[in-house]
Amino acid sequence: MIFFSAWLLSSALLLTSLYMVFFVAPVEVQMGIVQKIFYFHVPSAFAMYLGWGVTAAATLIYLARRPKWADALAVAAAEVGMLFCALVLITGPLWARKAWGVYWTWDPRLTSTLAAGMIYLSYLSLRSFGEAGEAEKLFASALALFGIPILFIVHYSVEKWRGAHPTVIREGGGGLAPEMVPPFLISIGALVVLAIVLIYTRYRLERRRQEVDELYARAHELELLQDEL
Amino acid sequence: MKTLALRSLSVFFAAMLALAPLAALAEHPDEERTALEDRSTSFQAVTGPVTEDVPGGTLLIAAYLAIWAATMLYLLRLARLGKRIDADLNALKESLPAEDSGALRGNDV
Repeated sequence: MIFFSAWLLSSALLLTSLYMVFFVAPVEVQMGIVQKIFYFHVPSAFAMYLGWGVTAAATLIYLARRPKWADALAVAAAEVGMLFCALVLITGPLWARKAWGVYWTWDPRLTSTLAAGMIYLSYLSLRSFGEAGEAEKLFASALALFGIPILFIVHYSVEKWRGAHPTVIREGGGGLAPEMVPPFLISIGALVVLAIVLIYTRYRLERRRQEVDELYARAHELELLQDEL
Repeated sequence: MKTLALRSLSVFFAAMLALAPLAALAEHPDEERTALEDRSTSFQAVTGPVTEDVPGGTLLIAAYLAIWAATMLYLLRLARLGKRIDADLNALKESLPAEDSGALRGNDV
């Protein structure tokens, strides 16, 4: 029931945010309508931080105590983080084409986001080998931990190395027009709730997959699967 | 064979990770540029088709389509993964003695 309600809440927030972005938020004076990409680009980045932050925390717990749930949570959150990273890396260049005249430039934030995406893609690639053994899990965990400093680099790269990326909602930025704030906040809420629901859904699947692995191992012990192998 | 493939893949990803940040170094920092380098010094004719002025609306629609498509594809992946896991789980529980499969049912979330 709670699970269903969470999906319902997520869908309602997404629809509300779409309405707010397209019918309430004003068109930006310099960039025009393409600026509305901002309302999903930035919240996607927040959802990406959330996913990979959860991965980092779950990985630390797994390395310390080895509970299976932490491993499942790390995989689930990394996958959802990767989805939102892909959204950031798709929507950003579409905005950049209009704002900067190019789809891509080796700006510090763009480069560090791409590097972070590659790290977590490596993590997911390692974990995609069926029935990952302890060695694969440990190596993947190390990769996930390696991703933590990269996340800070992504976040603070705009302040430290400037570059071309906008700094509208940061300290030193010009801020948002008051009419743009509610659609932006609703969009953040919508995508963060969507990320949480997706992480939980994927986590439940990963726990069931762990159960399948245990049953396979038990079947091997009893030599029930001899014919299939 | 699996170990060799795993190691090769790990080395490949490690090399990519090591090389990725180097790309940032390829661009000169702004402060090293002189005012002269920041401005155009000549005007050249376009050699290919004129591709300037991409309408913002098209880019906006492309961005939102990409967001919805990626999210829907991921939901589809979750649904297919769930079906595959359920099929495996049922097959294994049927093939295992009741006490073996029953003992693991407590792991359900």
